[in-house]
Amino acid sequence: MLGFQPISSDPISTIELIGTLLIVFNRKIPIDTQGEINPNIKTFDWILNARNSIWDIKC
Amino acid sequence: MSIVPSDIVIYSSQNMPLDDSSVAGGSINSGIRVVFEDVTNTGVITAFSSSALDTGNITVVGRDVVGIITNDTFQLNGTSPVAGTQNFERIISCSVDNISSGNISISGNIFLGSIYQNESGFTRPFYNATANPNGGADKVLYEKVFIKNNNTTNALLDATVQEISSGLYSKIQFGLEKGQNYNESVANRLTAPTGVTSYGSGISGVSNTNISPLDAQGVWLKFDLNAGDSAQDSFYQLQIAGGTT
Repeated sequence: MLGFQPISSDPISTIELIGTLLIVFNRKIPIDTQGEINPNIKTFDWILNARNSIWDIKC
Repeated sequence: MSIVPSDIVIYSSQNMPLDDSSVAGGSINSGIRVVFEDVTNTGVITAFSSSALDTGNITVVGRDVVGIITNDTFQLNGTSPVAGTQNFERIISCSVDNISSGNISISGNIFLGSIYQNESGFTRPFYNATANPNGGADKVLYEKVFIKNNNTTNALLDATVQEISSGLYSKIQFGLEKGQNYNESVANRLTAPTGVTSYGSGISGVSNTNISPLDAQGVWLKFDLNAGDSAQDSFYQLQIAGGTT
């Protein structure tokens, strides 16, 4: 017989594809933070007092 | 029915502390989500439900225009939009005092998120977390969230979690609990949990390989807050992947 011979007379089986779907998704979680400043800050009043003290010493 | 992205939800744990001394973690709180969009302009918050039965009180917590944490409570009117009176610069949490019958839509200048049927709200982790001033001690804070599979019939197969390199990714790492539906809590958020073996940012498989229907994987977030760190209004992003039939 000319040409390819059939391998089998059985019908070709259905080939199962992989039955799962890969899913990927991102989730964004809002987050905020606070910075704390150093409370050891010289106030304007403190600076004036310090200057007065120095002036008093000089006098 | 195949898993769809909306089936995979990140919920809070039962204990989301308001300070550094209260208990953190515990079991899942399947009523409070930790994913929502924040406002992009200062303004009032509006809410309405998909169900006429929803007439509970909405409470919004956030920062006002000068940074003070404040809240606003107003009553839902079913499917009719209702606006609050307080202007918010950012949103920290939003909740309803009755379990919702429908999906409640919450908006500012943009759509923020929904309080879904049978749930009660959404919140940020790390409420009012504050870095010490320069010269003070560095802090490491731990708070727990859960990745839950809300699909009732299918597992998320070979599930993986990884960090997305955006937002606060350089300050936060995640660690997966050693078992699913694990309920470890810690005395306060400065205390490291024992049920996590390592923290990182790369791709990690979950315990038990898959997340079965209605199961949840606990995820501890480890936040390095160094002395002198500046204030941030940002986010942390996780990518979840897996197969579905």
